[in-house]
Amino acid sequence: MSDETLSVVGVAKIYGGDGLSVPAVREATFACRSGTVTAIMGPSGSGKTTILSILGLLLKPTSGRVVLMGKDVTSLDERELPPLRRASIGFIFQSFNLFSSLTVLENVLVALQLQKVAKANAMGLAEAALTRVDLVKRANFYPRDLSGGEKQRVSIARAIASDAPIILADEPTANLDSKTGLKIIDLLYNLAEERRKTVVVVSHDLRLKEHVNRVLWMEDGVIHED
Amino acid sequence: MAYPVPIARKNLFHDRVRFIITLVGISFSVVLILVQVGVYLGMMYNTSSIIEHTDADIWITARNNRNFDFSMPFPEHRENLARAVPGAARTKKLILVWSLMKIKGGGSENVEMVGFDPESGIGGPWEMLQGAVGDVKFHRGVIVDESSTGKLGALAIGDYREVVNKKVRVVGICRGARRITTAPVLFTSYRTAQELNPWIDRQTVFVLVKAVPGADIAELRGRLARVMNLEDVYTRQQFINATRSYWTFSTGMGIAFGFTILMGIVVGAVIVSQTIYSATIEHLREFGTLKALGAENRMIYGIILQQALISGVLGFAIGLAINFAVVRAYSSTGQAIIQPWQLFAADFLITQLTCVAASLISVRKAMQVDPMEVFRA
Ligand SMILES: Nc1ncnc2c1ncn2[C@@H]1O[C@H](COP(=O)(O)OP(=O)(O)O)[C@@H](O)[C@H]1O
Ligand SMILES: [Mg+2]
Repeated sequence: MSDETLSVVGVAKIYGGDGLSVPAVREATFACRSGTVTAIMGPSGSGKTTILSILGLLLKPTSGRVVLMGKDVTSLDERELPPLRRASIGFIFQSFNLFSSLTVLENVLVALQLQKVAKANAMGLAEAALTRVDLVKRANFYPRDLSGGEKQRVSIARAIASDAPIILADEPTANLDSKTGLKIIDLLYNLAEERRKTVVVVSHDLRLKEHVNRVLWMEDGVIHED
Repeated sequence: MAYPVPIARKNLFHDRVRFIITLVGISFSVVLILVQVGVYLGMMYNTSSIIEHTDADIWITARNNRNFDFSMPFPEHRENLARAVPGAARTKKLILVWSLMKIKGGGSENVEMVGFDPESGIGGPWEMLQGAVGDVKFHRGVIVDESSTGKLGALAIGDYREVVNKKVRVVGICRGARRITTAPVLFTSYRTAQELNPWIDRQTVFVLVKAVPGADIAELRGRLARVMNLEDVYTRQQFINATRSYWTFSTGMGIAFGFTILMGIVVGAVIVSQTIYSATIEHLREFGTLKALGAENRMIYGIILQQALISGVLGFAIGLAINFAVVRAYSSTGQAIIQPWQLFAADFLITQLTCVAASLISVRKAMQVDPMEVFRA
């Protein structure tokens, strides 16, 4: 039970409200464990990004509860969420979302300065993260000079630099060729294993399912296990 | 490597073209405002320079006279009434009359002839380059300002010129007596002014009153106004203000300058808000990412605000440098341009406020970013 770092209980999300309402997630209940990669797979529009946003505390569910490290965080207000996100969650995005005016190293450092990591430690942590994703030699490059795979590795470095226990990835391979994409998934898998991270990967790419610990299927907002 | 990473500065310097456009916009606005206000203040100084350099507390003029340069004469014996008022230490008469001077190669120029009392020098030139103020006592002696050579041609002591068919002799060259009318100033004695312009015979244009030491000037003005019931009585500052306000409001000059200054502010504001706004839009996803990574809203305000202020301060500094180059070039033509420190302070504030206000629109946009925006492909 203690390795269930992030879970949702009866979570539903309906966009819109009165009149035009889109039910994007219906009654989802599942838990994600540390040391494992959970994949949420399903066709486009099935509600994957919505459930990931709820897991990432970026979106409030219409009903149900979100439990982070054993604590109900569903009704925390806007001011309490940023510190929680900083400390617990690293994000990886389909379009990488690197800071275009910052170098690779600076992109990683930003995550650390958000956590108010002292200068003395920050450089070492950033370099360690870049070493882990094998990008030290690109430390002073700008994102525009990197390949897609390299960009995604920078964003992984950014997500692991501050040692957040949870990594949420939305379609991390969609902008990459299939070989590079699988390498990224394998990297996430290794990180989960060696650092006991809780990794959730959302994807519509079926080839991923052989590279993760567990697959949740999603269709029309409904989640079910294999 | 700077840590914390200076995100605002790196954003600005990363997009150099936009940053340069921002700086050009701000510095253009700064130069426009500083130079226009400086030229305006220089002109205002010109309008009142003779009043300011004349040792008098009260100026008495013909009724409904509104400024120094276009004043009607009134009978000179009225001076006696003023002199008798308690609190008046002394009185002097001063003439300002428009006249015509013949130019060497033919043709003529309007001149503003100032006829003052040569014994006291009150109302006369205050900075002599050649000759002495008292030399106007010589027969039909005149002192011309160094700036007059543009209109009157080269002038040297001993030169003869013709004013309304009578010969005058240049006895001195002075500095700083420029009129906003652009007409050259010709200083001469009170009597000579009357003699050269017979239509003001036995008339004066101003009566200047010096108060006894420690007198209450406002009270003295009141007493004089009761006695000088056919004239207008101004304190020195009132007459300066009346003259300045005449040139500012009755000539369209104020509107012209005001409009240019407003344009400077507007152009600066539009360019700054445009560039800051477009930069924010371009980085919108990055701001969303920062929020997803756990940045507080105030950090994002901070970045946008810092970008605005860095642009504002740098743009102001560049504008200031250009301004001094412009002032130097302008002053070398002999024109007065006056820029008190308050002008710089005010323009600095206006510039920074404009930048901050412009960035607030962007801040609003950045705050409205949908948190799920970060997941869009
Ligand atoms: N902000 C929104 N407002 C209204 N409907 C939305 C919004 N975001 C997503 N949706 C809808 O919710 C459903 C699920 O979307 P999403 O979670 O993005 O699916 P997926 O990531 O699986 O493609 C879709 O029908 C989508 O159109
Ligand atoms: Mg999606």
